[in-house]
Amino acid sequence: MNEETDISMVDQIVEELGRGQESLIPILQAVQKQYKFLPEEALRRVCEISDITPAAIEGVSTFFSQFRRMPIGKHMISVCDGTACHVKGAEAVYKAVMHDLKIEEGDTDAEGVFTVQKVACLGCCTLAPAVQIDGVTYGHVRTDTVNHMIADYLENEANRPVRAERGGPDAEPVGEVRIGLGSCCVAGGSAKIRDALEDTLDKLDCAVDIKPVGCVGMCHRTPLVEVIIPGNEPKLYAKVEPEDIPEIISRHFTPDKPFIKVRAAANRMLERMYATEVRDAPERHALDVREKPVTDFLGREKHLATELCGILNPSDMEEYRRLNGFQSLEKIFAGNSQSEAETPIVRDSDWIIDEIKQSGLRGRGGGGFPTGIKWGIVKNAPGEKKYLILNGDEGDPGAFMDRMIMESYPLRVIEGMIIASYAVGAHEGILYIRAEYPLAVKRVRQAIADCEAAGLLGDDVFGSGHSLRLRIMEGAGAFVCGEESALIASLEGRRGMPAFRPPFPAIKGLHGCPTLVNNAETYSLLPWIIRNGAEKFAELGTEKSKGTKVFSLAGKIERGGLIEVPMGITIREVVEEIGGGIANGRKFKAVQIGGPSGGCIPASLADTTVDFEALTAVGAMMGSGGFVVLDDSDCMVEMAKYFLSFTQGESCGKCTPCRVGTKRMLEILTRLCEGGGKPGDIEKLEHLAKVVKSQSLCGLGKTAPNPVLTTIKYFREEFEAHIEGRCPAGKCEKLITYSINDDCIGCSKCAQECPVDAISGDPYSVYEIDPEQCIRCDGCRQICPVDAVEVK
Amino acid sequence: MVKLKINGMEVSVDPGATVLEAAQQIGVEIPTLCWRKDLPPATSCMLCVVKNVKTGQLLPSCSAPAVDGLEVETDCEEVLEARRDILNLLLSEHVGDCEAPCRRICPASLDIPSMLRKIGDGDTEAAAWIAKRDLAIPAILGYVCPAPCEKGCRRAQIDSSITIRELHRDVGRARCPSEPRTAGTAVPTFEFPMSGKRVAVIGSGPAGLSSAWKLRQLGHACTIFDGAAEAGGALLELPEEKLPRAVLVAEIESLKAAGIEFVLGTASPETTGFDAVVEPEEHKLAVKAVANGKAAAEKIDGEFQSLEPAQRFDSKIGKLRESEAQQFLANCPQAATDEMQKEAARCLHCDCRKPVSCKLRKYAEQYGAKQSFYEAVERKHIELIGHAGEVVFEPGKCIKCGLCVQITKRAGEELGLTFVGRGFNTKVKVPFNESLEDGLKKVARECVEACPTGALAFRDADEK
Repeated sequence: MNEETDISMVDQIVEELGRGQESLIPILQAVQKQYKFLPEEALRRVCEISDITPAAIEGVSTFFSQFRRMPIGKHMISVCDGTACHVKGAEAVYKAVMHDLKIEEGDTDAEGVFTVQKVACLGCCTLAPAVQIDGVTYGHVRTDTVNHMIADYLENEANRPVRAERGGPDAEPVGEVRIGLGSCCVAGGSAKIRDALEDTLDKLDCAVDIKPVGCVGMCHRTPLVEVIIPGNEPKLYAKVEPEDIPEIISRHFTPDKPFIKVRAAANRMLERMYATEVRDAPERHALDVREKPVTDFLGREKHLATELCGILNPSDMEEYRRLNGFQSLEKIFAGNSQSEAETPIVRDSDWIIDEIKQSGLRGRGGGGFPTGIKWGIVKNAPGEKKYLILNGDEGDPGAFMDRMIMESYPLRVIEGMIIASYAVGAHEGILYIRAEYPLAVKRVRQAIADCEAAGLLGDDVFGSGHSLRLRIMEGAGAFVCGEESALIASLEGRRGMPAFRPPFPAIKGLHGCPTLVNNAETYSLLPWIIRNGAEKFAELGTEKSKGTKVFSLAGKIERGGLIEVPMGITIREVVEEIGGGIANGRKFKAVQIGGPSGGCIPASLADTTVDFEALTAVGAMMGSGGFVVLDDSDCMVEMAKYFLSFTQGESCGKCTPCRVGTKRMLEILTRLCEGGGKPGDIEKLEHLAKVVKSQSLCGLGKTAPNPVLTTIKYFREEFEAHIEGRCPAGKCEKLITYSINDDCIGCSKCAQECPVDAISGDPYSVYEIDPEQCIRCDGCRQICPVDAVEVK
Repeated sequence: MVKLKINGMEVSVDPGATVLEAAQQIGVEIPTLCWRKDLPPATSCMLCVVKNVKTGQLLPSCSAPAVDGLEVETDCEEVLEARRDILNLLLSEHVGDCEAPCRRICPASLDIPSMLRKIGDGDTEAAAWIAKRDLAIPAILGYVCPAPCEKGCRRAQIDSSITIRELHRDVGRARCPSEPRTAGTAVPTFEFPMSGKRVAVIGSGPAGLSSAWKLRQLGHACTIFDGAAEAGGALLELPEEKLPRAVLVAEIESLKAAGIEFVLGTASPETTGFDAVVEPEEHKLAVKAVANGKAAAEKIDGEFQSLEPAQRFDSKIGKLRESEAQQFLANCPQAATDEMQKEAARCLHCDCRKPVSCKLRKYAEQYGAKQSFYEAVERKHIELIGHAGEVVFEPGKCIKCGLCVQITKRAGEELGLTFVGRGFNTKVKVPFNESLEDGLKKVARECVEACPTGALAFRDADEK
């Protein structure tokens, strides 16, 4: 341990955050922020000056994956291994990063500059594979661009100065430029676009507003820029590069001073001439909203939770109010106090709960428990104090709905929480948000402060006398904390281990008090329901699944993104009409819905409707809303292994079936993928799956076998093939060989690409791959211009 | 009062009671590992499952509240299989032997590791008792036994096996009154319970002697019949240099002192038949032991109690890895100058200290669980922690029930024990890698007693 570690900051941290056990996780987060890891001296000091015991601090700091007990490099590279990234080659990217940094052992390079880790999901599924270096996200990373990415980071990003806020021009704005600043957009490069926009507009001295908006949903085309000029058709540009900005701006706006215009034009000319790569004019990026694919993408959708997507500035309270925001509160509270109203409708908590029951809303976190009934239980549960929790610990490695909702509609989420708190009689609420979602945390924090300032939170909400205080707790990285009782354990500063239910948190939750737990999507639907009425909501969807569901559509699809669709839409409609079908001309094989708790539904069942009952009937489940499309190059055994390795790694380790059972299942799946499968393995898997499913303590274990059971059910022949040593999809490294056929033109690109020099040959002759040396990184196949690399 | 049905039987319990408590109230046995009456349920092992008849769901009875109208079954095939599966899973991650290989091989099942620990600590008296208890004639066997135990000794993996036979010979001789170097030691006296049953043993060779001894320990009166005038059977044929006569005599004396009667010089039962020598009125059973006298005695005892012969569950790990052997070696203290002590101190202590009280072993036996049912790809690393102190901890035997974690927390141990890590890699440890002794300053005994397996045990536990 470093002798020089200065632990004086620890006292201050404890002073600020409190001495009780419930402050433990925030304290650890603050300590880690200070030292970049958790030095043991610091932890011992925490124990000395607080009520936290060594046993507690050791237990908690080793439970959550966010915490590091060993020093790390200067920069952290997080390679996303979420589902969408996984199917698009995250593993190869990870290996390439390790290779590029020459890390053979451990996770940090020799100079201590970079530490590399795999993370469950960065929530940028449409940019897969994604890599995050410190705060900067890179999308569509390829094995051959890894070195550029690292170089770019060191050159440009690591020392990027913080930009001063752009002061609004004095003149009346002639229009505005909207720029998507959801995480996907930022990862897609919208921060750079914003810089370029500000530079350009400053140079031109144009009175144009730059307006950040939340997620537009079209994450596959990020970054998006929309130009709005009053009286003109809005113009949307997709996949914009910073270099395109001057062109776009000059097309729509005229500089205020003519001579600047000339200079600007001249500058542009010069830039063009000096640019090494002549770029297309931004024409190719321009999207007309009436263009068919876009209409499809946005047209089939129904925006309730994501109402006003692409229009709303996430942090603009005034705008939110203007666009129907907080109307639901007005309806509830104002209605009550209007004594002069002719037909006073009492909209008390019973009315709200009844309204939610009427709407048929079911929890959007995965289980689908009727929201109104849950509220009724909390309301009627005995107890002086009641808590309200927002479960924003979205851990499904192929989903980012909650992140998007919290980032883009933080005010709506709070509005929903106010409704719920009033209905159940809670006066204290906690938003439990994944620490991996810094932007969501930032926006929600801002929104809480704004609401407090506006009297929407605090002792007298909306002048109703109802009090509500909200605070944020950042989750520390544990999928199992999506489970209510584990979430509550971590809020109390304990290891996130679930408890047997009953008692349910609705009766006995946080600190033993009745606690309402709903997820971000559920809360964000409430304002719409109250404002438009339960009937309107119930008109949407199916008999038992009402309303809409937000999905993150990703994977092998033409157009991925955040979508909100009415329940009852078929899988085929989502894939083909919204998603534009399978990318790269491949064949639609299956969709994975519900992430690690869900299942793989084969293309043959694509007419299955998307609702709670239908999905459960085919062995999947709604889950939180991951919707990952797979094509014929995806191996289903490998997919089963992928999901199980996720749940196995996220198992808290408390109950025997989950702790040991998932491990044994994973071992069988691993050997199947590595050519060591034995006859009887499928039956063994099925037996273990039954044990884990029926005997585990919590939802994580009870659903963990689903991806395995569904793949066996629908793709048994693939499992059998693996026992025979074949991988029909050509995916499992140990079961396939790469070779070059006679179509080879001898261009030598593959030999240059190969990281292990396994390819040899003379220029203009057919090259050869040495199967012994080949590491099956797939680089040669991707780079071959004539598709001469075969995988068998 | 809450009314529910367990296996069709009505039971009323106070509100708030669990299904397990309700079952205990009417004497229905449900196996538990992670549960303890005085602690809140951990709901971790999931062995206590019962079936909810109406929903078909399996419930952990330790936590499931007894509610009105609930109907559960505790012993249907589905429940038994579910419990067996839990045990199979626990055993698949269990590393450690139920019995040390030396003891497993010994036909008389001498508790060799315990004996060696006593010798190592300089407590020859206690060591001699263990040898006597298990072997009946430890000094004699010290001369004549082919010592298969030494072939199983794991110490051989490092250098050479421990000279177990010589050691039990020497501690056995230490108790023999005729031996010059322990002159003055009186013939030890033994007190055993009396079952009221008498057994006739035919033949006074090693097998006869050991079966009589074991029967005596089990409380049965015993008479040894032999046609020869002197006791010892085949042992008498050995020359002095192979087995000093004084040793033989001394051991037989000690058996007599334990109350075993010898009837010598009678007609040989081989020629006259059992009836001629045994009076059926007096002796309930006659035994002629030919090979393993002790096993024969145990079998007879089983007959008396009408017990089914049970196959003991035995977890086996096989050869130690090099790194593990080195770790075990670190547990061998640098012993005193005494040769015997030095030799005994070479023991690696690879035995389980709780071969009898281990609940995992008991239930594995009861439910027919198998360690190989869910085979682990790689067996976990074996560790033996804290061997210098009073308590030893073997993480490989830990089932992560957390009882010790809860107990140390409740007792306000300064360090205590805690879970470290997550999921399959969760370990129970003392915080900040401090020593086991520092972690268990107040409640070591309570933790050891609560631990359902051999993971936490007293170093010198001597369960037979």
